[in-house]
This record gives sequence, C-alpha cells and structure tokens, in this order.
Amino acid sequence: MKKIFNYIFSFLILTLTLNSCEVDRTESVFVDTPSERIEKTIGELRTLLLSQEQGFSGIYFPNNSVVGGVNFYMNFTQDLRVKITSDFKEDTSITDSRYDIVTGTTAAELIFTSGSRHITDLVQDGAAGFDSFFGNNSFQYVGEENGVITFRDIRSDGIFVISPSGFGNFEAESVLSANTTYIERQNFTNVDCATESVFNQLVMQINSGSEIINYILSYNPDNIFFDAETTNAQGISASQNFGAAFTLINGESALKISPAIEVGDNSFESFILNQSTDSNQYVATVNGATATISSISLSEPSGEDIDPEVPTFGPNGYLYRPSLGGDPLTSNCFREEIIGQMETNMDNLFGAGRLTFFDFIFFFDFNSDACANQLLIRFDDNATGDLISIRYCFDRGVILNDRLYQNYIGTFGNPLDDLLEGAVMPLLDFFNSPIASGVPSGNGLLYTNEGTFFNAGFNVDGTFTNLDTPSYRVQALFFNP
Amino acid sequence: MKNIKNIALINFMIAIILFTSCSDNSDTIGPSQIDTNTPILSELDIWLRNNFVEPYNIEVSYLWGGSNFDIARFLYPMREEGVRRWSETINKTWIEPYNALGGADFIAKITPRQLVYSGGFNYNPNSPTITLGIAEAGTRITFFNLDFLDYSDVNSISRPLQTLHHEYGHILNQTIPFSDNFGLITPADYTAQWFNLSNQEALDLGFITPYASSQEGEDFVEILATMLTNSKEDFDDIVSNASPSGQAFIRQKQEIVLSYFQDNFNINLFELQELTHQALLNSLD
Repeated sequence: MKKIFNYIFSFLILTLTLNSCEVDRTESVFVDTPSERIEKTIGELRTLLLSQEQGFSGIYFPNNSVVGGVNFYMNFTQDLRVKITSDFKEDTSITDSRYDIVTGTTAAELIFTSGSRHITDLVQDGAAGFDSFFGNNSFQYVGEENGVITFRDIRSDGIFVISPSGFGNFEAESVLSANTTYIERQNFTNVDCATESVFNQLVMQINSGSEIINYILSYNPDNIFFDAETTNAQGISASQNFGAAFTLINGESALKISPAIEVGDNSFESFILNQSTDSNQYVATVNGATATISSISLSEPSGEDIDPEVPTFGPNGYLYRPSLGGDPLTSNCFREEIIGQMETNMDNLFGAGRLTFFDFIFFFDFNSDACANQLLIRFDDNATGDLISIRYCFDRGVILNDRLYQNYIGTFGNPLDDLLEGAVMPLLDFFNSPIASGVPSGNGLLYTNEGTFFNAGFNVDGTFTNLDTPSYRVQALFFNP
Repeated sequence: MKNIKNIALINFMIAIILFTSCSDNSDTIGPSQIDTNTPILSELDIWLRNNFVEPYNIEVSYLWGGSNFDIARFLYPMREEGVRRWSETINKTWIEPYNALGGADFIAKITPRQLVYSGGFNYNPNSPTITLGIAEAGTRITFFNLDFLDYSDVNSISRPLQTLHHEYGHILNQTIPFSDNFGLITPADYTAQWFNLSNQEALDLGFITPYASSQEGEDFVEILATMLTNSKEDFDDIVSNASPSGQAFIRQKQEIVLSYFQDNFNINLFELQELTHQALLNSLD
C-alpha cells in the first residue's frame, strides 16, 4: 500500500513538473506587435508617397461594371497636403486639398480628407442615378512593386494605380497632360457632320494570326465605357463590357481598358493611337497579335422597305416629336445641325428661348404636286403658350431604286410660313431630294423600317437618312389618326 | 509519523517545483506604441479651435472620417475653402443671436458638441428626397451638400441654416421637453408619407412645411426653424397662404413655441427672429 502511495505521488510530481511549465505553443505569425506593424505599413506608404518630388501619375478605374478610367496626377507633401489634377472634367486646374494615411480594416488606407473636385465629382456623378459608386475618398493600400503603387477602392472594387510622374515641373506638366488626354477623349466622339456617316460603325478586331475575332462596339462617352459584342461562325453571340481611359503611355496617346480583353494567352489592355491614320484608330500589340479599335464604313441598307403602296406612306403622316423619346437612331448631327440650327435661327429672330421646336409631321403623297406632299413644322411659343404651325410644299414623292426623291417647291402661303421659311430651311433641305424629269440629281432619302411602336394603337417606326449628307438621320413614326 | 514526514517532504518538493519551474521572464511594459503626437494643424484648424472649440466646446469636423458618415451614401468631404465662411455664418446667425438674448454662455451650456460638414448630397435611397442634416443624440449636427452653397442666393444659405435651427430645436427639446398640448392641435394629420404633400397642402392642414407633418417633434422645430430663417413679415406671409383652419392651427402651434422659449429660456422668440434674420442677410455677398 505504501509503495502504491509513493508511486502515485511520484507520478503526480512528474505530471506537475511536466505540465506546470507549459511551453508556449502559440506560433509567432508576426515578428512585430500589431501597433508596430500598423506603424510600419503606414510609414512605408508615407515614405513612398513623399519619395517623389514631382508627384505621381496614374489611372483610377472606379468601377469596371459601369464606368471607365480617369487620369490622375498627385503630388503629396509632408504637411498632409496633396495637389491633384485629373481629366475627368474640362476644368483641369490643380486643387490643393488634404490627405492622411490611417489604419484601415486590414491595411493602411490613403484618405483624401478634404474635398477636391477631381475626386468628389466622380462620387457626385455616380449619385445621379442612385445606382453605382463611381468614386471614393478612401483607398486601401495594396502594395508597391518597382515604383508602382496599387490601391483598392473597397466600396466599388475600383483599382487605382500610380507611378512616379517623371515630370520636371509637376504643376505645369500635370495640367498639360490632363488637358491632352481630356481632348483625346473628346476627339474620340467628335464627328464632322460634313463627312461622317450614320453607317460608320465602331469595331474592335482581334487578329492573333490564326484567328480573327470581330467585335461590334458601342461606346458611351458619358461613362467612358464600351459594350462589345461578337458573333462566331456558328452564330453564337458573346458580349463583354469594359471601361476605358484615354491616357498617355510613354508620351503617346493611348487607350487603356479595364478589364483587359483576354484572347487565348494574350491579354489586350493598352492600345496606342495610330497617328498615321486620320481616323481614331487604337492598336494593341501583344506577342505579335493585334487588337484594333477603329471606325469602319458599313454598307448602307438596301432601302427596299420603302413602298408607296404601303398605307403608312399616306396622309397619316410621319411624326418626329423629341418629347416622345424612343428615337435612338436619330443622329446627333440631325439633332444639332437641323433641329438645333432651327432653334438658333428662331432665337435670332425672336429672342432666346421664345420659340422651341415641338415636332414636325411629313404627310407623304405620291400622286399630287398640289402640296399634298407636305411638311408641317410646329414650335412652342413660350411667351404665349401657343403652338405655332407652319407648312411647306413638296412635289409628289418618287421612289427610284428604293430611294425617295422629292423637290421642295415653296411655302404653303401663309404669312408665317413665308416669314419663317429661312429659319426652318435646314429641315426643308433635309427632305429636299431633287429629281427632274425622272432623273435624280442626288442620292435620295433612304428609308428603313424599324418595326412597330405602340401608342394607343400600333404605329410603324422608321428612319430616313439623307444620303447626300449621311450623317443626318431621323427616327420617327407613322401615326394612326 | 513517517507518513507525515513523507507527505511534508513531498509537499515541500511540489512547492519548490511550482515556485521555481515557472519563471516570469516577460518583458516589462514599454512605452505606448500608439501615436499620441499632436496632429498637424492647418491655419483653418487653428482658427476653428480659437472660434469654436475654446469658447463653446464645439468641434467642427470637416475632414473625412468614415465613421462620421454612412459609406452607403454618396457623401464626400467638403472643400476646405468653404469651411471658414460657413463656420462664420453659423457663428453670426446662430451662436451670437442666442447668446445675445439667452446669456453669453447660452450656446456653451446647451450645445451640440460636434458640427460635421459634408460636401455631397445625402440622397435617400428608395425615396425622392435628400436629407439636409442630421442631429444625433443631442451631441452632433451633420450638414450635407455644403459644397453647393451660393452666398448670392438667400435661399441657398437659409436652407442649411434652417437645418441648423431645426436640429438645435431638437437639442433644446431634449434638454427641456415641450408641452404635450402641441401634439393635440393636429394629431390626425401626421404622416410618414409627408413627402407626398405639397407646400400648399401642408399649410392648409396646419403645417408650416411638408416635413412638419411627419411627427409633432418635427412640427415644433420646423416652426422654430422657419421663424428663425425668415423675417416676421415673411413668416406671416407664409402663414397667410394657408387655409383659414390651417392658419389657426399654425398660430396655435406658434404660441406654444413662443411660450416654450419665453418660459424656459427667457427668450423672446420674435427678438431672436429679428437677430437671426438680419444676420442671415448680412452673411450674403
């Protein structure tokens, strides 16, 4: 019994000895304490941002789902101030605001602590539709590699990448660069109505040597954003959306897209403006494969939709009223150089804003030259609340080779028709497609049937393009009486 | 006896082992690693300290700190160049008039401890409205869309000042509640769908603004704020546009607001109205 007692005690002592000094089994994941690590990351980022006397340049893609990228130029100083410019808006002058580097949830964060319109305009524009954040004031520091600093915008998953500007004079060169890229962006959508055609199409062609993929592009200049759609040989369509930033790469005008287009092993991200062409052609080259964004001329539709026997081309009238909306095929050149010019002419006659365009109705007739083929134009008189109507006469319409021809012959004869004839001449010219003795002297008007439009009954929806100035196209409807 | 010796020996050994085996080799506590340095103060920060923190114990927070704002809203910091002028406007149109009539330390005693400035609009999701300001727990008033102030337009400036007087009214009410009789004047017409009312409809129902119809607490401070951002004549003009019953209701409510200030703070609200409105006009370009 005594031995057993001794054995138990010896065992207890051994157990106590082994267990009382338990080895610290926690692993030392971090060498430094949390506060040391925080300070280290903040210090690292602060050192990086202050390392460049002439600041940084970079592109911020706020949200790859809805908006493209903006060029930013920033110069940070020790006293927590930062000079910023960007090419988001036309005003590229530098703002001087404050920043700070703080501890975020998981990493250091760069915060623009006071308002700079270059940053806040993005948020404000994003608010317009309540649907998407376009920008932020807080950026999580992701890391630095070869001088390139990457931040993440946690709220909208945006990416902001900056690198040393390489400028000799930040204040002068940053504004110059922002102006350059802003103008490049505007040029991408500026069209010369004298030479532009509504049958031009923005496309992207990817040529990998063994395979060619063609994308039809749709570009939204407000969001700097592309929708791309392609159809393969089997007729299967695929689409991809990407944001763009008009930028400078090694001093050359360029287009950077996000996300990149991946084809096989190639990733197309940076497109350089081809200066040897007059048009906006941007080319990306990766491993010998190319991706080219450009505008090409498509052949115009046949025009076989037009038929004087179809009842719609009768007295019911072809109505264009902008307030009805639903006319995306109406070209900007038509809106600006025809409708806009008429309103400018009215302003010159009666004072700014007195008369505003309300609608026009073309009553087509193919049998009579007695002004049955007639254009009615109406303006709102904002001083009296009245609707002013004026009428103009055309010879009967003639259809030759699926094109419409008709001669403008003069006013309906009311004093107001005569008074305002000069002011509405842009629209009269649009529908004037001369023909003499059955021989046209121009290219005529092209009609396309765009389906039906329901408005208290089905209306035929169609477009007319003046083929002598193919940048002018209007989309309207034949209304049921 | 031998057993007792053995037990004593064993206990002694255990004690030795226990006391010596676990030596405390932890480091002594070092200095704090938290950065307690004074933050970098700009000229503006120093001005705000001298004009708000020291005399009134009010912090003006214009720098972006995520915790002050709902990150799900389209908000952003105010531009620095507008901070001082807006702060001066607040001083002239709110602090000085109250102190002039309520005593030199009126605002210092009953005050929000933090004024927060935001540049962007506070759009309300799923509602066609924006929030102009928020008062929280009687300690903080947040102003929104301050980047869009236009000092050439009295309405542009009176709108956020109405927010200030409105929210400060809440703070006063949290200090001293107003009479329950106030809520008995138009009890059936308070509605959560206040934003569907036009100004005229609200007036005809006996509310000085549509928002006043949201609940009696808002009703009280909307009368106060409308008075303090309009001249007496302008306020009377607004009331005169209401239906006869609406006018009567608004006047009954106004009487309670007047008595509340007179009885609790010895402030003649008409005198305060004169001072605040004149200060508003003086603040314009």
